Amino acid sequence: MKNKLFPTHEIGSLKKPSWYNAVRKGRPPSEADLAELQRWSRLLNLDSTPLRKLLTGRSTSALKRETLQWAVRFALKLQEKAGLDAVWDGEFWRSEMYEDPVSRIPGLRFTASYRGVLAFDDNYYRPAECITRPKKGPALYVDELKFAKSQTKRIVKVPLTDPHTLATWSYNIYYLRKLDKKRLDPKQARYEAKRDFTLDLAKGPLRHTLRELIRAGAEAIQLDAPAAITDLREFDEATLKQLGYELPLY
Amino acid sequence: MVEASLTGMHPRSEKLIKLRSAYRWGKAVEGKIPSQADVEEAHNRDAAELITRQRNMGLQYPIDGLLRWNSIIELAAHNLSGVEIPPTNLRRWFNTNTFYHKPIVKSELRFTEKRPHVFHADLLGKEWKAVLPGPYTFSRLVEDAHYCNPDALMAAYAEALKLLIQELEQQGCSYVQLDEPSLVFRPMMKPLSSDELSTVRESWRTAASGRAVHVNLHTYFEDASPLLLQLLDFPADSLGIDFQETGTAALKEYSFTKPLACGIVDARNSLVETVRDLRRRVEWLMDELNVSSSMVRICPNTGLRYLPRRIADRKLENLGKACRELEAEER
Repeated sequence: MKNKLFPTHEIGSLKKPSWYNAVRKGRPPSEADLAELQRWSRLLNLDSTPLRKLLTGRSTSALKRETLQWAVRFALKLQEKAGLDAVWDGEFWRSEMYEDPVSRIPGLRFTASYRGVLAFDDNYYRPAECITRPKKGPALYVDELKFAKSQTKRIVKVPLTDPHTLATWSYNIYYLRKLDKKRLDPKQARYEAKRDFTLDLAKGPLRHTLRELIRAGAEAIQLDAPAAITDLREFDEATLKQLGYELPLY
Repeated sequence: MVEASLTGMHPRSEKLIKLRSAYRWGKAVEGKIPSQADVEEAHNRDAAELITRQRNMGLQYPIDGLLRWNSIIELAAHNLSGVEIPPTNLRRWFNTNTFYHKPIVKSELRFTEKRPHVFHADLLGKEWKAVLPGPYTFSRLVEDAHYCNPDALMAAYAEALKLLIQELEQQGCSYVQLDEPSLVFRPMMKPLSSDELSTVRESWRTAASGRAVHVNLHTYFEDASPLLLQLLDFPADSLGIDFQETGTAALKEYSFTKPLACGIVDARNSLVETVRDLRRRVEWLMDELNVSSSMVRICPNTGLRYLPRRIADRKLENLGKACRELEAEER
């Protein structure tokens, strides 16, 4: 990929196959789900007989995991067939780009047992609050990477939500409380609290994850930073450099 | 006397969320797939409960929580002809993790007859607050396929808004908050020039003419201080400032002639401000800005929709308690 002028890869998560969604939700795949499986098996020239047996056979404890692995095989094959240089697993292992990493970072906890904050229409998200300094937990996504690498010869890309986005979409309790003692102007306190939270997420859990992913053979990592489009300008140059953003933002 | 009110959209209750989702996706709740009437009833219950809670906590101008909407832009568009709200066309709402369907203006904008369910006037009775986008924010957050000129669109919306405000007045509304976050939140854009602000002020004159209700110009998501001098000159009865984003240092030089709606409750953090914190903030603000309590109304910096309902309600309660304690102290 390094030698190509315009290497190609897909950016966002892929739509989960309906037969995988059925298994995730604990219901038997319908005729329509199985027809979709057949159609895509034909289009991608992928022998899915074992999967069909799995889906129509008796439910086992390994069913979810094995179906997920098949879903990943389909995602990889689709991208290979499209001729992409770097491929990935479509984020099928994860529930959502924010909720998934946040649920696995010690120091953050969800504020409600349900998705209670309206994103739009009847879609909601579940913000977490930072109650203590974020710590290194088990590195994220190493298993995902290893499995994908075992299924393809192409470069496997791993997407990761960037620390600034995680901080922007979370409630920052710990750092604000810490700064409150200094009696700063609220605006100044908010800025400093957000900066400290973001840097600690970057230096702790996310750097640890990056190291472990590289150790596990990651050749391409994509940092997803949707909050950067509106909020990253709030940080000073030194903070941006520490986060790895060295290009002028505006 | 310090007054208190909510600022905008409130989060839906867990029950309403579940019911709406079940209705949308055709799933059963307690053995039954909810009907549209069930959803309507749940909406009314949620709004009524929120209104009662605000009245019980002594908030002067309750709102209905705007529970049906993704944003005030779609709410306003619902009252206008000439504009369509597409089922797609999703856009991010400022720097939040929430989205709205960007309406498309396709012909002359006009205020239409009263449409049901914009605000729960029946539940609110008298003395309530409506929240709508101001002319500048509306004109910048919709897609203009007709005027091809944002200022012409802004002027047309201002005309329609004037009629809508009069209609709300008829329904018992006594306080209209016109939100103008787009005036202050301008990432990677130049601040508005004096000429541009004059044009916006003109549209405000149109919208705010011929009414008896209190009109508040509310800003949030960014520091209002660079525009403060000009904003104080707008034809609004009070000015709303997000005090999570606006420092007081730059405000000290002004002498305030109109009341301030001070956004001191943080709608974007789950840390619940204690009653003592809020009282201290009010006293500190009065001291910093050299204003009397009659010039101060306290509120969240923006709608509490960015929080789960349980936390939003706790913030609401502490806001009411702080207001009552400040009032008792004054007596």
